[in-house]
Amino acid sequence: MRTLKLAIYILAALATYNLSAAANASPSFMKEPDVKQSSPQRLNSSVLQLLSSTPQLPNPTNTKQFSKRASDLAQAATLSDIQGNWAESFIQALVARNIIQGFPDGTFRPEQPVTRAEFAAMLDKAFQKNSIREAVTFSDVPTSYWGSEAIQKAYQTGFLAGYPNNVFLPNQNIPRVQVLVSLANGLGLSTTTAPTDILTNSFQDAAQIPDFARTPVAAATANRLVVNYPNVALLNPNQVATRADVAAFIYQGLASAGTVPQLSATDVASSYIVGYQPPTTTPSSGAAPTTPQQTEDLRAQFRLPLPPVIEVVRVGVFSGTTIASPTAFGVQYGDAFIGASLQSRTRRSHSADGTAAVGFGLGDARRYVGLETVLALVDLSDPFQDGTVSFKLHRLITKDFAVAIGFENAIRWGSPDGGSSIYGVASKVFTLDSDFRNPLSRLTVSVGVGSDRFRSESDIRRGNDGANVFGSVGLQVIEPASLIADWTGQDLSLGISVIPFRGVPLVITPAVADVTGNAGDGPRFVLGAGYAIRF
Amino acid sequence: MKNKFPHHPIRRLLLPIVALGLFSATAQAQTQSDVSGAITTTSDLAGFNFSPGINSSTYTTYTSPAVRATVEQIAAALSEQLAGGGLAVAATDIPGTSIPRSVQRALQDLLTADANAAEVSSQFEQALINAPGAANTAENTTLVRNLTSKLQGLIVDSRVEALQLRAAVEAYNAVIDASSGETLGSPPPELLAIRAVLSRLVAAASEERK
Repeated sequence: MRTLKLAIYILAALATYNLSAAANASPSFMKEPDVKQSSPQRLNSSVLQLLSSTPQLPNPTNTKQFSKRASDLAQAATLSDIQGNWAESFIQALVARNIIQGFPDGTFRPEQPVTRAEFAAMLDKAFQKNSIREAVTFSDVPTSYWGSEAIQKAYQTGFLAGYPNNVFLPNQNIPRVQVLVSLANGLGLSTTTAPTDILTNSFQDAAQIPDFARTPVAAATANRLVVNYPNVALLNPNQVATRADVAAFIYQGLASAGTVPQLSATDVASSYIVGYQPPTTTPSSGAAPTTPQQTEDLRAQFRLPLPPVIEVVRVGVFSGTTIASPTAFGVQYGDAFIGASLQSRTRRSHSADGTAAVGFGLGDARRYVGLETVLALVDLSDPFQDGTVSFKLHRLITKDFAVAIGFENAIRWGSPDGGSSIYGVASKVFTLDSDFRNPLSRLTVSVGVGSDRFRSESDIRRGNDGANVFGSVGLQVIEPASLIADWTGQDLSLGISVIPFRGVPLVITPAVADVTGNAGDGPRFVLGAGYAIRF
Repeated sequence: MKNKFPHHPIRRLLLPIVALGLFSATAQAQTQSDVSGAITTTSDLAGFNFSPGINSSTYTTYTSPAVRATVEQIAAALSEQLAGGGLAVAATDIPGTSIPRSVQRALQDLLTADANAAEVSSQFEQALINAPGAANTAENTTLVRNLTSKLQGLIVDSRVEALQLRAAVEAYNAVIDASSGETLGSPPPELLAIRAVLSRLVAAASEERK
């Protein structure tokens, strides 16, 4: 039994390979004219034409190499009881592909009924489909049954189903309607036309079609699987399917999948195909040209409308791009902010220090200029005793480039521990990824020149006036966080700025000031926190 | 103090400001504690949130989430049909035409950017470029290659990006507009397959909002 099954596998594999080879052969095989232009004779010549178009196969005229395929061809040509049969073309083609075979006595017995098991075996050889469901054990199909594997495959690929209580009835003769339902389901056929319309328009005996079969039979009809002999308008759904019927249905199923060519209009069998239409003409160099209007009509027919889409603007909340140095961006009319700064210790001391700030904007930085005004309370132990007011005049040159001039601590009251500074700065945002949700989406660079607190440490120590360069670089590494490097003119600060709550414009910027110990007495921890307000 | 101060109006305006700054500089303390922490004299303390022109991004999508879901369902169904060789032609005005299974599988590989996508892309290009009646011009070749490039990776895990679908349809229409009547009168199966897929996706994306 194992040997027999192995032989069946090998034969099925060879049939499948040949079928695939034929299907994937040169375009000339797939195009209709090769069949259409063949003489309107028996399929023997067409079969040989198929052979010649399949390069892997030996020359059938070479008697020294008589492959299995050639043997099949020979069998097809010699089945004694199909000559002149209405289904001869279908039978010849399937025998040549080893999907269906004759009997040892050289007959095909086209009128013999087909059992469900036999049909499953034919499906196994005809169609290569992926499994869509798990195997099931049928109580009446033991593993020793000759068709058990074909039945399982037919079930798993969706071609056949069992009956209630997990019985398959493998030896039951299969009705025509079941064959069509099986092929429609297994091949995934469908139709957009109402099944009732198709069935009533196609078959005089449509009322005999069982309810469960109406939709799949309609799909089979629309895809030209149905072959009715002798009366094309009579489906005879509940009549037992003959071997000829099944050969015709399977061939049409293969044709719908493009695996085999459609029968030519001159073939007698084509007159029994429901809804048959001649194969489309493949254009050749001798084809009649179309008029310009016909061409334009065809183009209009083939064009597709563009899918409707919309553009969505996504506004983000962003972390900071600097620690201690100003940038050229700022608030304008409708903007405000509050914030605070904390130092673990100030320079050359062990005392912590904190500052609170509130600011608002005027003007329009994009059209004209924006004016930023910031009130800072520098002594949190006694608010309002010591404080400053700073101004920044800023202008957006482009949406990602700005310039500004600022007067830090222009107004001072009490005894703030910091002088007034005038500065000018330019800032540029480099967009690395247009979607700021992606990592490393933008790099912000600011460079400026300022007086007083921006002077070098040595100038400050010596009391020298003058100006110095400052700048900062902020890299948005992920959407809610940026890494920052900031040179204030005296020291280098490194830090990170984060948005701790998604969508909330609260910015926290912890940093280490004076990492190189260039100013003061070494690195110090500083923390900034700010909340952006947009009215 | 004759001519001690310049008479230019701008300089008159700026001079007091500069003088104030210089005066302030001479009055500072040594630690500069109020200006050596995180900056509290500008809005930079509150992050980069005051530049709406750059703090927003625009992306293209379908008209509604329901439409997107429908497109993805159709894309999944199309993948199954292509894999099983069950793709039907889009138009009923091309009777009797079927799409070979090999073409359907190749198209699936192209749409899903399979490992052999480059190979099948070339296959489709050759089929379209060498279609009967096709113009043997560099322009036509460019249009065809643009189409295959837009189709590559169009359906990934049943997802179809709206912008990519739109670009694919535009590329397809460009090929159609450059095709001759002979080609369209007997279209190659590759073109029919592409049309079948795109037409279904466009139909899904064109459903009204629910």
